[in-house]
Amino acid sequence: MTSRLALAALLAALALVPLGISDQYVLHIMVMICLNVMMAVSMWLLGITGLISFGQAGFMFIGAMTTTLLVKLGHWPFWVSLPFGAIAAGLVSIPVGRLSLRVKGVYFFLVTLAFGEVVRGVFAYFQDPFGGWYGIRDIPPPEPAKLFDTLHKLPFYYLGLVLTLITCLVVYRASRAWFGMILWSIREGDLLASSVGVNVPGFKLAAFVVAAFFAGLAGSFYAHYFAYISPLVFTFQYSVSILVFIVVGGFNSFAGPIVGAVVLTLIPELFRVTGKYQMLIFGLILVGSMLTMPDGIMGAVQRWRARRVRSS
Amino acid sequence: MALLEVQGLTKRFGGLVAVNDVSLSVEPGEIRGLIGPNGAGKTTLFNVISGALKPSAGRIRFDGRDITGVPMHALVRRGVVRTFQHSQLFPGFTVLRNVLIGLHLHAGSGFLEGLVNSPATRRRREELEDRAMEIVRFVGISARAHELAATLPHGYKRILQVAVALGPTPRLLLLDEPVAGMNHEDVDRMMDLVRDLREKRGITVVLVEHNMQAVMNVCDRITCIQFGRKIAEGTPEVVSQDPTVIEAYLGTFDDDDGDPVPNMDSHDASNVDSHDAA
Ligand SMILES: Nc1ncnc2c1ncn2[C@@H]1O[C@H](COP(=O)(O)OP(=O)(O)OP(=O)(O)O)[C@@H](O)[C@H]1O
Ligand SMILES: [Mg+2]
Repeated sequence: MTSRLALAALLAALALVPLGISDQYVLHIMVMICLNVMMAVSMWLLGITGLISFGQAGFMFIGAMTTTLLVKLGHWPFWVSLPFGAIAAGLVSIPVGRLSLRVKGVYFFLVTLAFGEVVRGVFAYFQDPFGGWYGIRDIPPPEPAKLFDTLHKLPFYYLGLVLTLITCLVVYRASRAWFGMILWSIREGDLLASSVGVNVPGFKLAAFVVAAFFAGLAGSFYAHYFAYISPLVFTFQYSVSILVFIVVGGFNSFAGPIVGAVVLTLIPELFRVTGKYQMLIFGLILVGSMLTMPDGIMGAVQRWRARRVRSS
Repeated sequence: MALLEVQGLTKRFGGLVAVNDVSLSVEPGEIRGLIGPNGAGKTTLFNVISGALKPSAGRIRFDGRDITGVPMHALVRRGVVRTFQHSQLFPGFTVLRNVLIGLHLHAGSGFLEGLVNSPATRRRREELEDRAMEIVRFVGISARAHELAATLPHGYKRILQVAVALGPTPRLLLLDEPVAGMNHEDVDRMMDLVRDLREKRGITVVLVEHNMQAVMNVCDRITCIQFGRKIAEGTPEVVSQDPTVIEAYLGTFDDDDGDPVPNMDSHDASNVDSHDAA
């Protein structure tokens, strides 16, 4: 009950507090948080099975490119092309998943990593229609254009918030249902799971496709928010930072990737004033948190709670 | 008609013939023992029958239908379920949840079903939880239903593995060394459980075991293999007196009590702790 109240309060705050924020920079950071949370949460669902994909930025790029081309060349309305970005990423992920899931462990990382680089390479190679290394600019904002004015980020924030909440709801539900329980069981013991009839490759593929779908959705939103996409954005480094969000937040609970994405998006911003030391401080905090909280922030919170319950 | 019929089964690993032209048939309701020295090919035979490996030659029929080369997850649906020689559990799950995963085939597990979470889905889940509890009670570990599998004592872990395998409602259960590393008390519990599987659930059982006492007590018939070949088959009395079987285990007689039954424990490193525990 209290957790329901807390959730309601949090949602209310997310909806109302930004109304009082006029600083566009702060709103921009909040949009970035939305994007990072979407990427981290969707990747976490795949992570439940014990798999880590280093190709999430590739799927994000596919989503971004799809919606960009549909709107710019096909003159599709934004609201139709937005989901198509996600669908395109989901469709591409089916053969990619089938191929990469055949190999195990570190080879899976490598295949997904290679996939992300191939996507970048293809989009960078073909100037027409993908824009090459220069990328594509002047991607139209969402409609109605009056509302989504690039100088005013509040509507973008609300759109990002809604997309993030949809992602979180879907992933949370799936992780709590039988589907999610089977994903956990695959991590615990894939041999045993398959011996009682679990189609292990099928479940892994399903999780892979869902993760790619939402990465594509985040990419779609990204394209229309920044109005600019390029191969320099959707890099391997970004895929790695998504993993870092999850690890720092904690792999074992749904809140982990969210907390990790929020905290790690904020921290570099807080230290922006330190100028050239910004990334150094960020790195130190990262290493420190991994050493002191091996189960991530949420793992530490849970331990702290358990201790309090015991001592009271 | 035999429930399981294996004909001329051969499995090669490169130059090594792990299972060599083995034929055997198991009647419905039978408890069959499969014995043989280390490396004889018992686990490989299980792997092939259960669809984990494809045979190099030979045919397998289950309930009159050819199941040669049918993959494991499909065979499970038809009622052929196996357990593993080396402990396989979901260590981070509770006992109950381990068994619940075993009931996977009876659950609606799709991604979309999870999203909708309809009342029907929830009812189904509750039903399955009841069934899992019922299985936990049947195998006699309900006192530990809510403990993590990882924290169970060894004997309970082995029993839990059988409980998980009951989830898909098997008609034929292949148990690979279910009492490996157990103390006497736990061995007796496991053997009572194996009898219950047949008596109360009508399950046909094939079990690999090095613990001769257990095999002799519980099995109707015993098949002995060595170097991948079947060397003897029959009732426990017949097989234990068979000269080829005795020869296969020569040097490992339990001299202390002059028992003609060969003792294979000394072969098996995994059984060492059973002596400690006993
Ligand atoms: N996947 C494999 N690849 C290559 N060789 C294998 C494989 N599996 C088993 N073998 C070999 O096949 C032979 C039979 O092994 P298997 O595990 O079936 O014996 P076992 O009778 O179960 O022995 P144990 O009593 O020790 O469990 C052994 O020589 C083993 O090394
Ligand atoms: Mg074996």
